Amino acid sequence: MKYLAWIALIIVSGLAGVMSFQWLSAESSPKQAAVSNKVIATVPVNLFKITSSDGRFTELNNDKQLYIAYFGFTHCPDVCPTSLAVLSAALQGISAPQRQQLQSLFVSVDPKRDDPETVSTYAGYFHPDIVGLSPQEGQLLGLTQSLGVYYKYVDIPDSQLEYSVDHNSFFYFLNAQGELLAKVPHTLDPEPLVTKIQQLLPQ
Amino acid sequence: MRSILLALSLLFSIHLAANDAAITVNEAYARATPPNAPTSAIFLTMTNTSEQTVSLVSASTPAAGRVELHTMLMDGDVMQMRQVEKIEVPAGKQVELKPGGLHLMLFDLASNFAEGEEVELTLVFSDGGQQQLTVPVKKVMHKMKHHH
Ligand SMILES: [Cu+2]
Repeated sequence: MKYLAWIALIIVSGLAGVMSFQWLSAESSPKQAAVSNKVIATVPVNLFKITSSDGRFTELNNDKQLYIAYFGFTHCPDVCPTSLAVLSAALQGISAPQRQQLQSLFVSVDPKRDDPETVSTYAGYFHPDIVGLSPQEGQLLGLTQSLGVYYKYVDIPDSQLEYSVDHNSFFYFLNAQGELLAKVPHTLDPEPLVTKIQQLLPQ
Repeated sequence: MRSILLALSLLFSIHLAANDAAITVNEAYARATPPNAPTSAIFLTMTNTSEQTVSLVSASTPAAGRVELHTMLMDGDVMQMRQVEKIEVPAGKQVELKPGGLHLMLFDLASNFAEGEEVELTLVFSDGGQQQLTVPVKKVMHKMKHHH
């Protein structure tokens, strides 16, 4: 029975993912892109019921106004650490009250190699406010599909890495209701993140 | 036998000296890592002052069990990391290994890389030349701070 519920959840979120993907593609026309603060997609809050190894995160909670989720993996030597460093710089560029209303999440798309402790240590290194999560595979699938996160395991023959995870690189801005309010593409400059935080958390 | 080896090594070192100038390496740094991080990366800039293409073919460091040459490709907004056999530096050109692109990827780190430390690095080039460098460990944002 529990499995059935999971399967249903995955199918529903899969559909939601497809729909939101179409939505997003439709939205990228310049006319609509200027409109901000509208809901791009809604993630079933159950999918965010993930307890971090340090217990600091258990689910989306009204204690926080805004969540920033970034999806990656700890074996990523480049894009993920860069993104987390940029996020960390952005967190240093906002006010203390804003920081308090904000929760940053680093979500692993590589549960095989990233246990919750590994992700936790990894994320916390970049900024103590960033919590690392390693969802189970079904939950990960639902989360990524409803947000439109792309990831794919690719074998790298002859590399000690064995396999890499191709992935897109966006910062997803959500509220406690699981509503996706904005996504900011990969950046080497914290400014777009700071701007978005200021917009969504006016002090 | 010994004299042959000696002659060979002498030849080799002359060869090394002659090729030292082909590639100039600048701005090398290793990325500081979280505790127990599985990997790190080294970034640097290579300038080829010679008249032929010279490639970086391998690298090694006592600080890591293995070093691979990697590149990051973009397919739309999807980041794809792949291993490459060599990194070509055309005559008179500069090639930058930087975040979001080419990098040396380090596996089996002896310990985590803390800012302020240094890492010994050996680069091997296609013309037989080698270079030994001492590379500082830096945080990835160290460069961006100057922009603001
Ligand atoms: Cu790599």
